[in-house]
Amino acid sequence: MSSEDLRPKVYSVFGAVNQRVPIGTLIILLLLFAIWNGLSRFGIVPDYVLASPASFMESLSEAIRSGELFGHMIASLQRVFVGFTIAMFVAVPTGVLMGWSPSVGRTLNPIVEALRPVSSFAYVPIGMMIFGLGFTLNAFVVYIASFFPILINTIQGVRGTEKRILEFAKLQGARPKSMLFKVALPSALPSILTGLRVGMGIAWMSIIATEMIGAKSGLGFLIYNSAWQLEMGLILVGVMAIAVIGLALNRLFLLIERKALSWRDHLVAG
Amino acid sequence: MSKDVIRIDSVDKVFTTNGSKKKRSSLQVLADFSISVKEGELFCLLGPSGCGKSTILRIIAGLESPTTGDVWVYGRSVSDVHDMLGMVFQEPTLLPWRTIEGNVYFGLEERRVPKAERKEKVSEYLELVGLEGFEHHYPQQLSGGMRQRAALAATLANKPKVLLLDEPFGALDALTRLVMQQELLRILERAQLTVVLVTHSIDEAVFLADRIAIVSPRPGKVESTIVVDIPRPRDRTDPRFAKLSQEIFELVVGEAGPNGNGVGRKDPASEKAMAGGLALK
Ligand SMILES: Nc1ncnc2c1ncn2[C@@H]1O[C@H](COP(=O)(O)OP(=O)(O)O)[C@@H](O)[C@H]1O
Ligand SMILES: [Mg+2]
Repeated sequence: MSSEDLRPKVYSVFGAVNQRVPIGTLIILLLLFAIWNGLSRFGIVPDYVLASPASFMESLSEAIRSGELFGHMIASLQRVFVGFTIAMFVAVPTGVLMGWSPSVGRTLNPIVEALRPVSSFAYVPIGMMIFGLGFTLNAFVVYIASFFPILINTIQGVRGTEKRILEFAKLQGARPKSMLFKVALPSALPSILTGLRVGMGIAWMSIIATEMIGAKSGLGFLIYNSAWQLEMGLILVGVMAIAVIGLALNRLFLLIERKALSWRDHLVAG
Repeated sequence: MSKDVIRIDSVDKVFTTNGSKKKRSSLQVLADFSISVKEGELFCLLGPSGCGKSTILRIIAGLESPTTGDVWVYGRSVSDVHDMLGMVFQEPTLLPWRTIEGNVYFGLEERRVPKAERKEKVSEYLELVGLEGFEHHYPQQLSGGMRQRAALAATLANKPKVLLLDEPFGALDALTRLVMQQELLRILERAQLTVVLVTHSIDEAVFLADRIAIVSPRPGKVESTIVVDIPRPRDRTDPRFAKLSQEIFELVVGEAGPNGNGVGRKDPASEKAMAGGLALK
């Protein structure tokens, strides 16, 4: 493509997506592994506090073979998916409305500001009364946790639409509906997507905590239950699975941002 | 040719900064500002920066309302953005998430131009401003001058009757600027338009304008209006060109006073010599 050739050298706004792991990070990871190995090999930390690499590997292969790990992963992911999706479909339109209409914003803002600092776990007792233990309770807590980051970022994105761009659109003859859907929304999209990514991060953190009290499955339940069973290797397996999935989810959202906002990627060098 | 397209009648504009009552301060930007612009005319507003030139254009466009006084466009009092008006901002502005082509499409979509016509119009206007081949580029990939031309194409595609240009060549280097002035005259020849152009360059005003209003700084007020009756195409080496530039320079220096900032930022003599050397056509 000739238009490709004309493009100046570009720097990605989302460098994090395609960056390789720096060599220093790998060295630190190896070092940590060596310390972990040393601690258990020389009996400095007993096996019932921190599993040795060997017993970790044993638990890992057992958890994979039995399908136990996979089952818990799916359970957690399903709850997060449902809670997060509902939060997205409620918070984005609400945020757009609050950001676009000053009167709606003024009316709802005090309520949002009052509820926002309340930890989503504060809703667990109420949720338990309403939904009982299980899927709905967990999805409900995820919903609460991811709702506010999505809402706040959407409001800010819509409100932050440059005056200059709104005036340009108006002079081009934009109809009122288009001012919102063709100007303010695309302009707010970067902020909305950031809100979704942050919301997903918080959703993933909260599901683990909720499952410790409010579920009989899921990765949160797995690590909590393993502690009671003194299965130290399995705790580490759970923690590792939580980290890997958290990382993957974050990458997935960064990738979506990069695809959706490719126009921002064409920053001229220098 | 004698019908007034734009009439501005003793407009005052006072900006009040918001804040607590005690800290609130107000700034008078325009005082008793009056002009009238005839149909088909290229009218220049010439004045130092900060004298309210952008503000008066924004008032004509309906983006800002006057504190007192009246503004009429085609006999109708301006109260909001109007379909007959197009404006290109001082700072090149486009929708950054749309390609250049998409930006020209925007106004056509909004004005419900039939789909079949849109494509044709887009290429027609992009060609007019010399941006063919850049249809699929995003605004960030273009230089400031190219973005400015894209904004001009998007504005012209809406077929306005009045075009407001706020220092359209302000961001350009002196050479490109001379070329773009020629280009603008060529573009305007093909579109029947009344134009109000803001500039702080005497040379630019004398080269482009049918009439020039000299705006005094703080608060902005039209001090005098000058008719430029040098036949087109104008030649910067023409003695009349130099004479008029000199006259305006003296008027402006007179306005600004001993400690004011004159309009002619560059030494007019050297700018003239340069233009003469280039002698476009
Ligand atoms: N929205 C605004 N609020 C307050 N002051 C403003 C606003 N717009 C312009 N001004 C002030 O009005 C004066 C004239 O501005 P402007 O019309 O942009 O001048 P020019 O285009 O001639 O350089 C400046 O001092 C500027 O700071
Ligand atoms: Mg200005």
